[in-house]
Amino acid sequence: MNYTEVEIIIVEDTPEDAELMLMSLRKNMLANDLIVLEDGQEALDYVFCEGKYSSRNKKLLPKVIFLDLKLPKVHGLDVLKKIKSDTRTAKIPVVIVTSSSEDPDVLKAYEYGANSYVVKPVDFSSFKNTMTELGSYWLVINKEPIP
Amino acid sequence: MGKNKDSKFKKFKSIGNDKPGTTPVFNDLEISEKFLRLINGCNLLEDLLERSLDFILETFECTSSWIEVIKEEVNPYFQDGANTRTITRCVYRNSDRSISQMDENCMPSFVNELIFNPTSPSDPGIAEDNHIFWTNNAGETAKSSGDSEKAALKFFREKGFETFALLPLLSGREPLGIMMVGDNRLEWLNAEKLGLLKRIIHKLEIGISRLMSLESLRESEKRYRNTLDNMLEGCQIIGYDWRYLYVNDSVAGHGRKSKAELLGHTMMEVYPGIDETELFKTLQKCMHDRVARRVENHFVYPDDSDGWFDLSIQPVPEGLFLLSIDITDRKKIEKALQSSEAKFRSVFDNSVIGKSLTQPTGELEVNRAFAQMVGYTLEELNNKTWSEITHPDDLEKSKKLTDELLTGKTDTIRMKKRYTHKNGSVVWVDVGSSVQRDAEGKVLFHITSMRDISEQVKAEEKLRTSEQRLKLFVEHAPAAIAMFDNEMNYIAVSRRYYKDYQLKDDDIIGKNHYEVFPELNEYIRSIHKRCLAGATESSEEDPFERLDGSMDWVRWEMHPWYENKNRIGGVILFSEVITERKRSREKLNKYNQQLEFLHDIDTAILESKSPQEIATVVLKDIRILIPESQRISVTEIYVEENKASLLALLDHDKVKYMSDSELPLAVFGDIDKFTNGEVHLITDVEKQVSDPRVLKHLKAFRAKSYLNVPLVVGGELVGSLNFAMENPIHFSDDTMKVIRRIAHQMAIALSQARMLEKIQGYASYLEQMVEERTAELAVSEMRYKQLFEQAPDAIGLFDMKTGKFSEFNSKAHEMLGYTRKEFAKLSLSEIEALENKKDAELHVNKILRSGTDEFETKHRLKSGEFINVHVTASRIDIDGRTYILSIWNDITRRKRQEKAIRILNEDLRYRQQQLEDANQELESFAYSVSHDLRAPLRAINGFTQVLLDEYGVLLDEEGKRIGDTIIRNTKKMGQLIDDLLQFSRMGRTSMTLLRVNMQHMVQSIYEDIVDTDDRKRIDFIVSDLPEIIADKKMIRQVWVNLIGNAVKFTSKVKHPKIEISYENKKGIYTFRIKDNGAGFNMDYADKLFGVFQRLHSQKEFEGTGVGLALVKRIVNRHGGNCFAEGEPGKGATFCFSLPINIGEISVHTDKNI
Repeated sequence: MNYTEVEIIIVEDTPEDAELMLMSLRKNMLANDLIVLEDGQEALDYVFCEGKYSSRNKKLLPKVIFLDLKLPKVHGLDVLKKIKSDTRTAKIPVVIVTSSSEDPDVLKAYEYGANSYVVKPVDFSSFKNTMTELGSYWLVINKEPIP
Repeated sequence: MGKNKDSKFKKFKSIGNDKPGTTPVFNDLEISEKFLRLINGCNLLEDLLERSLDFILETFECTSSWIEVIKEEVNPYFQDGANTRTITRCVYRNSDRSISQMDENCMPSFVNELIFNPTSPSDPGIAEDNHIFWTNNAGETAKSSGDSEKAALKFFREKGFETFALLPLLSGREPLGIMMVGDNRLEWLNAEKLGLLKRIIHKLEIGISRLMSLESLRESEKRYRNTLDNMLEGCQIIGYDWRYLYVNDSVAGHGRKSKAELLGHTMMEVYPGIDETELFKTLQKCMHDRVARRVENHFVYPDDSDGWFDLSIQPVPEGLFLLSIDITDRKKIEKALQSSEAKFRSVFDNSVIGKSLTQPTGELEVNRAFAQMVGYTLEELNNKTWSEITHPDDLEKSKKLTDELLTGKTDTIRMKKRYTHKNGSVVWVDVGSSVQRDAEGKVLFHITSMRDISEQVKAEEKLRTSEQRLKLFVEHAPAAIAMFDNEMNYIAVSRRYYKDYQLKDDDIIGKNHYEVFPELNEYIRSIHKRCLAGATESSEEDPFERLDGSMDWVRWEMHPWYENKNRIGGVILFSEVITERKRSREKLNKYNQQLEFLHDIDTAILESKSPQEIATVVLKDIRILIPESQRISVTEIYVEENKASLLALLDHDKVKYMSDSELPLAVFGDIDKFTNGEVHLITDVEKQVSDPRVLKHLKAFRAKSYLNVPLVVGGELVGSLNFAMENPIHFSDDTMKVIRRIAHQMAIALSQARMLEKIQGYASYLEQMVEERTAELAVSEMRYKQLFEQAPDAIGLFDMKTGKFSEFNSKAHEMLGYTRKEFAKLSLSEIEALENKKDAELHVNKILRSGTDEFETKHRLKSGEFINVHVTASRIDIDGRTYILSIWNDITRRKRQEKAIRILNEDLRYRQQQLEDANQELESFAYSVSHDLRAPLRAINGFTQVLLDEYGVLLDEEGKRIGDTIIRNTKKMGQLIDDLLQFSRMGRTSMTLLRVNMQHMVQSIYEDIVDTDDRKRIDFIVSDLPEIIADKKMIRQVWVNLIGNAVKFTSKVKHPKIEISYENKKGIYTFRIKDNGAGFNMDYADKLFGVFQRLHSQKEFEGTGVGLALVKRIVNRHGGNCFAEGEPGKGATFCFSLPINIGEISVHTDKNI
């Protein structure tokens, strides 16, 4: 994959969810420059160019990260915390996309600097709408910080 | 002159025309030639005029001729007519050739007017030939003339002319003058003469014109030369051979040469080497090309001084004309100006300080430093005004000051102001502006310096804030705090300090400590010195004598504060005026002392047997309590015998016994009042006492005032406690209280003692009565025994001598499980079970020493068990033997209860911890449920949807229906999970109790959850609901569910009606929501509020069966209840109750999830 073109990072361990998200984004031509990472550690490796992503150009930042919270290896909140506490990556918008609507997670996510918090609806049509809106907002409408 | 001039002219002329001569007498040609020669021979006007007159006289042989020449000179400098001068030259000649002036300088004005009348409209013009006025008989003509002609005729006739002709002299159409030819003969004129005259005059006119212009040329040359000579500018004319042809004085001055040195000499002779200069080249070019030039020439004098000249070079026929102006001064000023301007520029442009230059026109120039200060480029600033970049808050101030500057009120201003930076931030700037004026005080420009002081201001601000904070902190500190500089001047003071040291509220900041407290002595000042040198000193209690002599007690601490690491800035004094505290402590001490003493007196009194003994015991210690009195005595009074006798006297510190010292009852004043308990107080013996017996007695006591306190018991006056003072005195209430207390005890003791004495005194009588008395005593003994036995606590009298209990009630031995006999043999150590034996001894010692003690201890039972006992013990001395009377109270149960409660509490804490742990677990469980159950559901829903969307064409209707069913069910399952989670959360989250307006809440929920169409359909009635205290979020959920249900279950009714009401009964609100919907069977009423319990099928009404369970859980948590009534098809009523005072119920965590 050509990393230079990645605009969206999806961190999602449930392959079905990932697929559904891809489908939704693809429908609206938003899935071209996208990478799906399956656990928290991989997400951190990618963002900080470590491990198998050590050759990646550090200066290339994605336009948005869609982050699940319940992730293997490293919990989503910890991934968020690390991204937001490093000045190099703190500006990347991180949207928490999770099944959980439990209050403490919302508060913690915002505390750590999440840019948005979205609960994945069970109903696919709502889910599709949600993903489309998220994709178009962060890729099209939102003005990214000038590096 | 002139309205009907025309007719008069004609008349005038007609006379002349009447007799023209017929035979020519004159040779015209010869005369004309002769006259022409004459004219050409004249160079001066005067000459011409005189010779012309001579010629006319000679030619015409007439008496006189007269010429007046008018010359109008227009002053070139003043071109308005008012300043036009008329110069008239008048020449008159008689036939005897003598030139004589007329009396008048010129011809009378009417003559002039007669000839030249340019205004008459009917006048064809004076140039006409026939405008000659002549008469051959002046006297005759005058008879038929108008006033003006008459005047002229008269004028000339008076001069002797009978005949005359007036002829105008013209140059072109302009008048030159008038000529008169006259003769004393009548009829002298004729046509020939007139014609000749006209021709001569024509030539004369040419001659006059020529000479006049020549003359004016000469005059103007003269004038110019004069002007040139006197001009400040240098004027010189240089010939083609470079010789000076003309120089004026200024040139001579400029060149520092005399005119003689210059004139006639060449420039090269005068200024050797000049032909090498640029100037000379310019001159050559002008000379050669005949062009004008203007140059500035720098000229160096032989003495090395120099000068600058502005030279205008103009070619003239003679060569070159040079006009030179000395511009040395201007040049020098210019040069100075240039150099200062350059200096100024460089300072202005390169200054690190912002500068600006403002012209009076408002034109503004700023330097780069200022531009950088406000973040603009110089170009951007060119388009800005001061107002635009000035911070809005400072605009007014800034304008006001600038106005003062511009109007000249002041020449300099200085201010701190804010500018708005390009990026919007505030820039603080120190601005100094001053006005530059010229010599006349006119504003040239004002120059402004601006220094960016933002950092400084920020730092100041910070400092000020911290200083302010510190000041506030000190000011409001609850202690008296004062902060001094190193000269002991106040820097900061707390309010408490003002209060404690009774300082007036005016500001003492800045004042010196010693100025504020001049009473501070050297000792205190030396402390200050030590502290200023770095020491920290303090005192727990220090006397501080005020100027007014009052004494305060102060607790203080003083230590230095440091300006920086090494420098002491001053000292801080923390102090507390503890006078009040000290006083109350002393008072408390005194009170304790009094109590102790009273107790001692009580004990002593009880031990004493005779009145004398009692008196002695009391007096021995009483002075500690009442030091005011120098002499205190005790008197026994026998009212019936009208007798009083002194028992004992305390004179200062010695007790004296008195025997048989009787004193009059009058000493006690009104004996009835005294018996009633009223004290007898005499504050001034001299004034208040007159009874000689009393005075005599008082004299022995040297009493100036005294107080007698009656000793009364059971209404009987038995004696008096007397206080005599050497000074008038007043006892405090406290003292009086003590005195009364003593008096009371004494009264009892005295009464008893007296009884005893009585008994002793009547021994025989006593013996008689002994039997009776014994019986009485037996009864009394019985009573005493009964009292002893029936006391609720165990009582024992411990004999210190035997170390055993000599007396005890049955409760005492029963308590320890012994028989009476066994108990009597027990020693204290067998009973006391304190682990530390010494503790028991300490208690005993204390009882013996101070009389009483109260403590908790352990007693050993006969069975070997222990009980906890509360002991109240006191020392009793009977017949010289010491006993301890102790009362035991078994507190084992209480102790056990205390322990049980303690254990319970611990248990509770443990359970609470467990509960919290369980909650924690539950929370993570709920989280997992939320997360992990929803994920597969989403997958099922999502992929089914995709299946239907993408592959729908491959499915038949049944296949599609199945797909839809899957989707519907996953949605429902998602809803179930959400509801369940919410249900569980409601049990766990803590409640926040707030005031909730139920009316508002219900209305807003109804509008939120029911759409407009339904609202139009439903008859929704809400009675005035009260305000309650509850968790707003939760109660909202209750209403959402109940109203939602009511709307849902009435959806199939034609006229749905929902009524919400409440009632308030015994501190409980019951809210009721009644609908006319589907209703339910009361048989299942108990199932309504259970989780997942539904009374209707999904087909009828959708739902998860969690809603009402949630309602119940919330209501229960608020300490209320839920219940419902209904009938199928007729509707349902759901009620929930809430305690009005919810604050009283404990907000608990629901354990049953």
